[in-house]
Amino acid sequence: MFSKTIFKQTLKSNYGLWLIFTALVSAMSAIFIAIYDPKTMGTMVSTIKDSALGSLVGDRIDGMSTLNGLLANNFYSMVGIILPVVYIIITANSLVASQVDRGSMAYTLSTPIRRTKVIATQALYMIGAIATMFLVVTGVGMTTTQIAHGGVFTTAYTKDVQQISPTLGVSKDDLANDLSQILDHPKAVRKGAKARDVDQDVYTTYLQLKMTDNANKAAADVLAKKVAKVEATPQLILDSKKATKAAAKVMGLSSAEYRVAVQQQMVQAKAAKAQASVLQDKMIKGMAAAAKSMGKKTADMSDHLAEMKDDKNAMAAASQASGLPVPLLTQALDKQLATKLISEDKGGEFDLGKYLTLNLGAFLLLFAMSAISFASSCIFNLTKYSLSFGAGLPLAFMIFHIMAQTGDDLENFKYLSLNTLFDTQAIINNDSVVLNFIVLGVIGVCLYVVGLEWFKRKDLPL
Amino acid sequence: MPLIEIDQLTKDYGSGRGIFDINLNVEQGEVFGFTGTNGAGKTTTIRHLMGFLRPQQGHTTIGGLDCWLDSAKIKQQVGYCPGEIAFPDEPTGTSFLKHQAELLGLHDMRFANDLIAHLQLDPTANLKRMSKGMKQKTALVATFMADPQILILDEPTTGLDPLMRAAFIEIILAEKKKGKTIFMSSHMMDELEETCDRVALIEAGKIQKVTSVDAIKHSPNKTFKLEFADHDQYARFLDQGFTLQAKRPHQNQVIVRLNDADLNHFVQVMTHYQLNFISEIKHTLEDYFKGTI
Repeated sequence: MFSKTIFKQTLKSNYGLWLIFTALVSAMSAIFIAIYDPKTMGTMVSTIKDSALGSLVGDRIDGMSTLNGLLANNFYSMVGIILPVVYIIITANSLVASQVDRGSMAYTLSTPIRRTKVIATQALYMIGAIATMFLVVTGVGMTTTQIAHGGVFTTAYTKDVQQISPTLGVSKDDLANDLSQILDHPKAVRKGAKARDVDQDVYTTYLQLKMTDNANKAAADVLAKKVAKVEATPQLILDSKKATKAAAKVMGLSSAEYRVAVQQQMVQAKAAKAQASVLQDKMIKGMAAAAKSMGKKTADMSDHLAEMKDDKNAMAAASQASGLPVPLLTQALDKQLATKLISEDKGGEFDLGKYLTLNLGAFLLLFAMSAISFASSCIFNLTKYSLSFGAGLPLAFMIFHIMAQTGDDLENFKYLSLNTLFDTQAIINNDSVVLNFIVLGVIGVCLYVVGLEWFKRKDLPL
Repeated sequence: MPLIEIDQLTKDYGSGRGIFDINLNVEQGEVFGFTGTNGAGKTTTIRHLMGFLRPQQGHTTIGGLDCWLDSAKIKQQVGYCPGEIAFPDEPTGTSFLKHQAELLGLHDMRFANDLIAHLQLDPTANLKRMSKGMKQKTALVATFMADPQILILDEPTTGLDPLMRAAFIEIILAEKKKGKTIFMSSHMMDELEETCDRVALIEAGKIQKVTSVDAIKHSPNKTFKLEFADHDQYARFLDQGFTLQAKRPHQNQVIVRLNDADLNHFVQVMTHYQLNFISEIKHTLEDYFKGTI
């Protein structure tokens, strides 16, 4: 089913195009990754979300603030697919239909090599070309991520951890796993706050939030439950001795101390919940007053929280308008700013599993697309007909895909597009995409077989 | 059993195009010519032999193997020269021939080099920039180089200059001597006449005539053109009872058909006449087929 001679020949006359497109796709992916900056991305996303553009971009905006999310919603649903599709269209046509159309296939088929063998070899080249293209793209992507952001082959550490670690003489890993060490040293807190470009109060709040997060994560690991669930009901942790111990260790506390802290937190949370809406109303009033005092728009205030904190007049105005004392307001602002830092950390995290799944999905989608182009190339004797299907369908799918994403009115177009099966958002959300991937694979295999069988049986004008 | 057998082969492309009920047999060691106007069905028939087209009716076999079903097996002993020159993507003639040899499983390029020398081909030239004749020569080398037992050639001399056509005919005759079976199509009657044992004429998808070239070349029926010294003798000759194909009273010429058996009688009669000249009009395939089309 495979002819080495034909493969060699095909490789020789096709590798140039492969090289160009692989370089192009790799470069695009590298640029996407390299220019990603969690801080600006977070700000940009919140800006876009409130603007008219937000509705155009739709739901995708939410996933965009992380690198994985950006790649999924941007690169792997547009450029990263469309460029290889163009490559596939050209290559699939030149592998079979164009050779029949021009007549050069006569030389191959006048030798004792079966038609099946010829087509199987060409199909293998097509599939191999896409697979290697994505291997290269994945490799380049991982390398670029490692160089630009770290966290692929080594753990990525936040800027503060990186800078404090030598000061305290603790390894980065140890420090990241027990942030309480920073809180114990005022010097370290000062350094960390500077590294993260916030004041020490915010930084301290951030550390506490982060430690709670990490504790929840550690407990969730022990309990084999989702982090969100553990966060919602901390009682789950306290119910398990093992989980409590793990969480306490992250917080730099003993199990007993941790238990007390959590219980206190739970009571506080309950109280906060009851007051939440009242407090929120007050906060909004306060923010509006502060905005007025600072001469900013209320909607833009989220970007000026740090300034507001330092602006005594603004704080006074806010306190007056909201009826909340200044220290409480300051605390609320600290918490907001700290939360921002946390989401920045999350943005910087690179989920290798998701990244590999994205690439596998892209390969499977392109495998199915290539099967359409290849089958069409096998079925038609004339390039013009081969291309009208082999290029027409994949491009139509791309267009429907884009239309479906643009707005709710056109959402039903997603049922007309093969791209829908490569659900990048689902990968980011950790939803299962196994079935989608299997469907893509089956479509691909079936169409390749159709092409092969059709070519075996058809009349050739050679 | 004939080596190549075409049996009631039909491929109807509609509106009168295609081939209809073709029956032909080519014996082992025979050179078989196939002629007809453009679009008569020569290439369609050949494509069936190569297993590129599936017969609508009837079937074709080579060496007892079905051309459609066992096409790959048959090609182990068939060399094919397509009617249209379209080479694969290869930079030079040499690399194309090398690649083709690989596909054929051919390692010994000595014969290929002989052919290249004979056809005065420079295979190192850029394949795409070659002239039509150069390309055709390259295609011919690719066809012959594996020394296959059967050769199927679709208009192999298109684009060749007269000198190269002569070289090609030499190659065909040499192959014939080696006992090869050759099935070739051509517009060139003289070329078929020089090489073929038998020639079939196809017209509008149907075989009109199959004839042995020998029978035409060495027919006992001959044709002579005579010109008499004056009109009286011309008029007198008309009454001698010979079969006259044409009379040209103004030039005092007649064209006479003669069987070899009547030759002596003719010579005796002619002693009573004064002639300006006598010449034999050679029977050619073209004349033979002209009456048919």
